[in-house]
Order: sequence, then structure tokens, then C-alpha cells
Amino acid sequence: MTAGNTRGSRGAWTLALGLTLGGCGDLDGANAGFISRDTAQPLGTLSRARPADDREQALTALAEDAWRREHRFLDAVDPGYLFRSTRVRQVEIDAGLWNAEELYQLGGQLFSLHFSAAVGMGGGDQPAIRRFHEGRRGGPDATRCVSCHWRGGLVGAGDAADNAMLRGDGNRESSTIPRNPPALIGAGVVQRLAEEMSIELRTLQNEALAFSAQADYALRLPITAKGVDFGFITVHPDGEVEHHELQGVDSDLIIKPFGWKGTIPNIRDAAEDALLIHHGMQSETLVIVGDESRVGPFGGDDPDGDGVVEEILEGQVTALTLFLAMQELPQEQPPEDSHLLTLWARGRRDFETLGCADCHTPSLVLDDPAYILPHRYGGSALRVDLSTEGVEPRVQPDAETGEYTIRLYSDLKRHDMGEALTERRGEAGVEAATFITPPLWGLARSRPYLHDGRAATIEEAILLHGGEAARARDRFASLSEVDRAPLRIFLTSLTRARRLVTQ
Amino acid sequence: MLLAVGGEDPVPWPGTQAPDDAELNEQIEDALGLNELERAEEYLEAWEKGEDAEHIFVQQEWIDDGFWDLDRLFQFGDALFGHEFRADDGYGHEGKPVPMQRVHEGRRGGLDTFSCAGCHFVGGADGAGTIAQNALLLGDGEHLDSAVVRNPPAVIGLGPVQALATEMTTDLQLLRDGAVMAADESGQAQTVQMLSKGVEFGRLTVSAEGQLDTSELEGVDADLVVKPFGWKGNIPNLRRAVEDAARVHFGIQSHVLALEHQANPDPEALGRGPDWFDPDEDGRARELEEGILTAAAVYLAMLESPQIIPPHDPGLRDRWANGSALFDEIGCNDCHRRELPMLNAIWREYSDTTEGPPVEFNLLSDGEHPKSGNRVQLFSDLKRHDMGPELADPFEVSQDSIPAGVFLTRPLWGLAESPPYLHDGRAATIPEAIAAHGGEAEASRDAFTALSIDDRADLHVFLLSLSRVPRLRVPQ
Repeated sequence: MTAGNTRGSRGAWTLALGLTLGGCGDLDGANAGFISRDTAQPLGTLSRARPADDREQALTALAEDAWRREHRFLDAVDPGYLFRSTRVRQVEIDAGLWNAEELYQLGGQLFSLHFSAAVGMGGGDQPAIRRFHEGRRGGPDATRCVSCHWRGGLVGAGDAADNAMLRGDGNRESSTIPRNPPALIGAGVVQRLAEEMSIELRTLQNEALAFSAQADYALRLPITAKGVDFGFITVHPDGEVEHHELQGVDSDLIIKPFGWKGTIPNIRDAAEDALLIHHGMQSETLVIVGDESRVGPFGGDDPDGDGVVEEILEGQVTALTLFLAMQELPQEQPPEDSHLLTLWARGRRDFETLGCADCHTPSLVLDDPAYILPHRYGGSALRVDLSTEGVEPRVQPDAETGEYTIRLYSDLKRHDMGEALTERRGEAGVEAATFITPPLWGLARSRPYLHDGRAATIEEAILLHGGEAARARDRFASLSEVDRAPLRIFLTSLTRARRLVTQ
Repeated sequence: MLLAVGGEDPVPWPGTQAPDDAELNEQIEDALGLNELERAEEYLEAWEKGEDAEHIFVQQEWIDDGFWDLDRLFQFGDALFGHEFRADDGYGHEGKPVPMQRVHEGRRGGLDTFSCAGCHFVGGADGAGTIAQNALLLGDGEHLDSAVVRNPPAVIGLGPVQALATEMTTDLQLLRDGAVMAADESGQAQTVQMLSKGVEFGRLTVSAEGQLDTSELEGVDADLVVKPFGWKGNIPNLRRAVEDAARVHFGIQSHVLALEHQANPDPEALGRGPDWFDPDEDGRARELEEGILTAAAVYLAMLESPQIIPPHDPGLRDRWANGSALFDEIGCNDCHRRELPMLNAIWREYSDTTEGPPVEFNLLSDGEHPKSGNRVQLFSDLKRHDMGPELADPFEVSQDSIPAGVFLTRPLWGLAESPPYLHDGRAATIPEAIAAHGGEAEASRDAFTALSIDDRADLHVFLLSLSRVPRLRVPQ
């Protein structure tokens, strides 16, 4: 009955691989006949549907809540039922047995699921709960994703009390790096922007290299993506590239938009790492990679030594990734009161003139809203068009220009934030005082603020800026109380769509 | 596989009936109205900093003068629950409010977060907290293993709980007073069984000279006050619970505490500042007015009560009924008393320092619905029990010297919507929580373990019906 450690499902996986090797070399719809759905099933506890009508929305929320309760009862009489309902195998997805809506639901079920030791939470060499992480292995410090992503609604932000206490010694608070859980809505679009920027940077470098080789002289050129300036590179005719003048991006020129330090390139890596460090739930891929510092010392197919193998299937990672990628986008809702609206408009200008917009770039233009999830084991990539398949409100082309203007309020670039915000140590080659510009969209629904949640209010957060933001901070700080209000009002308008829920 | 009914219906209602139109419209209106209000207040605060603070500034004298009606007091309490405390409010102490300090430093506390709502959201508004939100109490300010771990409980239904405790206190103290009189009249020692609402609290002996022997009391302090709040059962009422929480989690000190500190200095808990009115030396006095303590207590007492919501599927319903019977058979009901009768539903919230009349309302009708009713289906005896060495705290924590392994019987109402379980949230599931019981609960635990798999599942189904009604809201 115990879910998660069913060696039977490994058998199915092996069989599928056998098909791949012995068959046509690529699993697609043609092989669907050989593969059938295993234990995964959408439970109707959440869906992408969010009717515009209040009454319909309320009924949807209540119906989803009712299903949640009934399935919870079923889980009591059939232990592991809820977990198994999330156990989608990648071969089923590859065979086209699940559509985007169903994968969204399966991913959402995993996001809400209570992990427990029975399904592989934690490790054999870890305490059941460890609030302060020990190294890269993590906690575990939570039983579900929603535990710490709740504020403001589904896949929202975490409270200060939810701060992850990362990479410590497992006991001393001062050994940890506190990080506040950010809201995850809009992540699909963020990743798409970062991917396009990375391609732009890489293309610039390649073209410069080609030019340099042809012209046979070295070339120092500014490097930008979507109008954001990332410093300079110098290319040499022999193909050498100097990266020491780069700003805010690694020398691989890949924009990594996730994590407070901007160290995680995509949703799948972020979700997989979160499952590992917060829940001790290990994905097939991390087990195969087998980095002992991350997955534990026991090796084989159960590196965390808790007696449970295949804790998270590749298909579950896929579903969770798509669930997150398809989330709604934050919205701007100016106040209705005419006086407040006037102040709001002034605040929007202040945001530019004070210099906030220098890093919190109000908008970036997205070329292609198609979210592509590459296959890690040789199959076909999955494609989700966020402009038609995402949860509403979703990315929309501008009526006149046809462009996808994303009002993100970030340049997706790393900056030095000064001494006061400096952490105890750097991370993954990123300096202790350096952070990626956090997008401000959805700001009003994601308090508290800053990487460790130390700021209870937006104004406190502004005043704690330093480093590259010191000048903008000083300009704001020098304003009178009355003159600060417009900016606060403007920032309060960065919110999420109003939605009726029960949970 | 046993399947829930509902099938292909576009709007299935497996757990309950779809609300009828009037009820639904009212729910929607309430949720949207509250959201509109909260958005408006958010903009007001952005416009004129300090608006938020005004919503939690309530002087007891205004309440005494009848300035506010119940609805207004409820709103004040609600505002307090959602208020993000900040430096201007007196957050933290000694000018060192950031970053957070999760491991508390002795009785002084730590800095866990900014608002009550920050750790009470699981299962809905005024709900429980997750393990990530566990408070790490009474530690050395640094080491995880120096602290006692406490999971935030849900805070709905607390009005009836306090009312029951108060009635039980009265019962026990009357028994004591009667014994004292009898000893005095008869000139002979008197021993009485301490009993209230069918719950036995051991025996009390009064000597011929009128001396009390409290050594045979069980599950209650020598003062015979039933203290229903805190995992150890050491906080007598909502006023004190709110006051204590604000102090240890935010460094927000009530004026009532400061006044007490003036009379009986308690620097260990409050700080060593030279001025009694600002013991934490953050330059802010009267961080929490007495009136807001009153409003907060009234607010909490007026909140909804948890409800029993059985499964809808007929097959599951049968198993639920069996589970309910098993709950009594294996002895869960011995401590987790299904219901206690509430005789007096009139709440009276007295102030601490003024002579004003109490705030009065009816626990059965005023405030949020649904209500508990007179027969409060609490699933607790409001008595302390030894839970065995496995569940014991690492050390004795209470000033009241409650042994490390002793806890108040946790009310089980609302259970399904308040995971994780046990005082430190160590149990992710209900069966795990049952299996972790020891001490006085050992026999019941063993009886549970000895049940067939099906019977254990049925009991689990029953316990999952201890829930709260779904409530529409717009997340904030």
C-alpha cells in the first residue's frame, strides 16, 4: 500500500525505455497504444478555470473545496491515494496521454500534497524535521509546497516565519542564510524572458566573434539584451572572450532568473531543488546525477537511505514545472478614488525620476510566449503557449503593436545592494551583497519584503536599499512625508487579480 | 476503488450541498466587501502612513464609555490580527528589530514575524501554522536544540473553550470552598472528589485547620483555575494569550504588562530599560493599549467554531460511523471528550485596570457563524495529562512547573484543517499523531495499533470529518 516505493512502477519505466530503444527511437503518439495511464488522476481539486463571473467563481471554488475534502476521506481508507494520484510517469506524458489542463491539475495536486516519511520525505540520516538546514541537503523544513507559498493566493509568497534557513550547520541560527519564499506566479513568463535575453547575449557574442575572426582584430563591445545593459565583452580573433567587464550576469551569458541571487536558470531546476531541500523528496534525475552533497551518502537508487526509491518521478517533475509555468500573471490595479488616482499617476512618474526604474525596469518585451520544456531523456520537448494555455489573467499581445509587453519591474540582472543587505557569505560564485533585481509585479500581495523578509512594509524595503540603489534610495529618503505617498500608492497598485477561494 | 459520488456533474458537491442562491450571494458579498475594505485600507496607509496603527489604537476608556459597538470591536480585533507590526509600532526591542530571531532568548522571546496572520492561516483565516512556522520558545537565542518547539494552533472556536474553562474553574473552586466550610464546621478533615462537567480532576483534602492538600489534584493547578490555552494549558484567557503572543513574537509590549512591570519588575521577560513604561527601550511606550486587548479577546471569542462535516459518499459515510464508534471504544473519548456542556453563553470581557462594565455578548448568536451550540463538540476534557517521554519537551518550561511530558488535551475540533499535528508539529498525518501518543494515552494508542487496517482507516475517516466550513474569501 505504501506509495512511492513501488518497484513495480520502476518496472514499467524500464519497459518503456526498452520500447524506446527497440522501437522507433522516439516515443510519440504512435506508441500510445503500448502505454496506459498508471495511478495518476486529476481530482478536480483545482483547475485553470477561473470564471470572470463572481458567482461562477465562487461555485468553482466551493466545488473544488468539496472535492478536496472527499478525496481526503478516500486517502484515509486507501493510504497513499492522494500521493499516487500525482504519480504520472514521463512515458505517459510522452505518449500524449495527458493534456495541458490535466498536467496542470496533477502538478497542482503535487504542490498541495502532504509529504510524509511513508512517501519518502526526509532522509535516513536526517531528523524528521530540521528547521535550520544542514549544508546543501537542506531540512526538511516543510511538509508541502503550499506551506510556504500561500500569501496572496495560490503559489503565493511566504511569511517571514516561513523563511528558509539555508545551508547552515543544522543547529545554529547564525550559521544559516535566511531567505523569504517569493510568490511564484508569472514564473513561466519570467523564464521565457530570461531565455530570450540569454539567446540575445549569446548571439551578440557569436556575431562579435565571427566579425573579429574575419577582421582579425580584437573587439570590445557593449552587450545588452532587451535594452538591459550587461557591461562589455572583449572578443579576440583567436576565439578568446574576456568577460571581466560583464555586469550582473555570469560569463556563460545565461540569465538565471530564479533564486534571490539569480542562480537558477529555470522552473524545473528550481522546483526539483525545492523538493529536495525542503521535503527531502528526491527526483529521479537528481538521484541519477548522484551528487552526494545534495542527495545524501547512501548511493544507489536510494541515496538518502530512507528506504523509499523513486520518490519523485520525472513525470511528476514535468507536471509540477508546467503547473508553475502556467500560473496567472500579476496585475496592476490603480485606486478608483480620483484623488488617489492622481497621486498614483504621480507615483508612477516618481518611480522613473527617483531612479527605481533603472533596475526595476517597468516592462520587457517578450517575443514568443511559447514555454518549451525540454525532455531530459531523449524524448520530445513539451510546448505550452502561455498566451492561450496559461491561467487567466495571462500574457496578452498588445492590441495595437501585437507585442507581448511584460510589466515585470525587473531587469533580470544582478546588482550590488550594499553593506546593510549583505549576507553572511556568497553563493554559487555570486557575492554576498549581490542579488538579482526581484520583479515587483504582485508586490502588494507578497509582503514581507527583501531576501530575508526583514521589511514589513514597502517603504521599509525601499529605505533598506543600498549599493547600486543607494542614490535612488537617498532621493526617496530626502522626500517629505507628503511627497513619499505617491510612490507608495503606485507600488500598492502592483497586485494580483481578485479571486474568490476557500483555502 | 470506492468512488465518491458526483460523477460527471460539472459542479459536484460530494462533501455538502451546493449553497442555495441567497446564502451563496451573501458569502460572495461578504468576501468581496472585506476585500474592498482591505484594499481601501491598504491605499489609505500608503497615502497617510500611520493609518494602520490607528486601526489598532483602542483605549479601554472608550470601550468603558460604550463608544464602540460589538461590530466595531470585532473589526478592531480583526485589524490587530492582520496588522503588520513595524518599528513605528514598537516592533522588536532596543532598536534592533532586524533580522528575525527565530530561536527565542529565554522568556523574552524572539522576533518571528510581523503579524498574527503570518502564522495562523492553515485551513483558512485564523487557522493553524505549519512546521516552518513553529515557534522556538525559551531557547538561548541561537541553537535550535536549546528551544522548545510549538506549532501554532488554529484560533477559531476559542470563545466557547474559554467559557467552558471558566465554568469548570467555578465548579472546582466551589467544591474547594464547600470543603473548606465543611472542615471548618465539622472540625474534621474533608476530602472531595474534584469533578466538573464529568471530568475528574483528582482529589482535594482540607485539613481540620483549613490547610489545603493539593497533592492529589490531577491535570489542574493548585489554584484550580482551568487554563485552556497554550499547549501546556498555562494561559487562562484570550486577553493574556494575545498579550503574550504579541510580546514573544513581535516584541510588542502591552501597557497592562508595563503597569505590572512597574509594580513587580520582570526584566527577564520584558527588558531592562530604565523606564517602566518602555522596558524594551525601543523608544515606544504603550505599544499595545489595553483596549485593543479587549477588542482582540472579543474578536477571537466571536469567531466561528469548527464543525463536523462527514463524507457524502454512502460507503464512506458507513465507515465514518464505524470510526466514530471506534473513537469511543478504544478510549480516545476518555481524554478527547466529544462534548462538554456550556451552561452560560454570555461572554463578559472585563478590563484589567479600569472599572468599566464588561463587554457583553452571546457566544451562541453574536459574531461569525457557524457557532458551537450549547453542547460544545470540542473533543477535549481541558485537563492536563502525561503524554510519555517520547512527546516530552527537552526540559521543563513553564513557570508553573508543568512537567516536560505533560500537555493539555488538545481539542480535536477542526482537526482536518489544522495539520501538522502534536505540540511541535512532528506528525504529518493523523495516524502518525495517534501512534506518537504515550503516557496516559498508551492503552488507547495500543488499542489503535491493534485495530485491523480497515478499522484504523475508519477512525481516520471519522477524525477527518472534524473540520471547519468552507468560507469564501479573497486572499490578502
